[in-house]
Amino acid sequence: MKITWRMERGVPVARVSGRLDGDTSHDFEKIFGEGVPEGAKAVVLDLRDLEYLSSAGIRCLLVAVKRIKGDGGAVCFAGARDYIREVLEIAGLTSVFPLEDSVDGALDRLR
Amino acid sequence: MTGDDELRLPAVIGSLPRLMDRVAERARTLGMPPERILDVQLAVEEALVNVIRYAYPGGGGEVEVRCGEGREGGLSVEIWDSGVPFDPTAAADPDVTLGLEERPVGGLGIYLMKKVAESVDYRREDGRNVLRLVIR
Repeated sequence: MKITWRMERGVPVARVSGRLDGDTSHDFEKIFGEGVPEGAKAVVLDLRDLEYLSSAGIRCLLVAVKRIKGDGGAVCFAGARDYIREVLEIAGLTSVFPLEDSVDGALDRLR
Repeated sequence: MTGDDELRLPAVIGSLPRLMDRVAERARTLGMPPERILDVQLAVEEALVNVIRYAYPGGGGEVEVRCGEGREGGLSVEIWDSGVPFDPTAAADPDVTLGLEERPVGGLGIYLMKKVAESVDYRREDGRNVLRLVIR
């Protein structure tokens, strides 16, 4: 699991690649928590390179989203593969996590 | 189950990758498509994480996976532990219609496992928990 941060249209975009599971979720919480710019009003999670997601991964995504929202920010997911989308759907989270096909779409939504 | 393939390791998170790799490898040799192998990993991970987190309150136990071809076809995976008796199939499903604010951060694992596996059966055998998953 790896997170790479970049700025697009003034919004921090975190590209999450690899596996988000019981083995890596702890790393995610730490690395993501340190990477979110202070007072960020919007964050995009670019999931196109996310290969696998389990409930432990969903749990840390929920924690991250709740934290950003708690600080008054908004979050949008972008580019999740079919499999990741399916897991989020089974968990009933596609209604909770805004999900766009592309980073551009996510940035539009957050504008 | 035929052609059993067993791996027993300490019930700690660090054992997850090896246990999961073993199961995925077995699924590949059965010719399962990559998407389905992800489902296999998801179901098995949920079962393993449960054992690792809750089976041994004092720590120090082991978890074992046994893979084989199910009688009814597909992959059969049994997860064995000697921890406190626990039947995951009896757990109530979480409410997946709740909004973000009301949503608890945990409780999804067993639900996901039940959703992606064809069958999930629990039994107690020789003082151990045995959870059997079949994924086709």
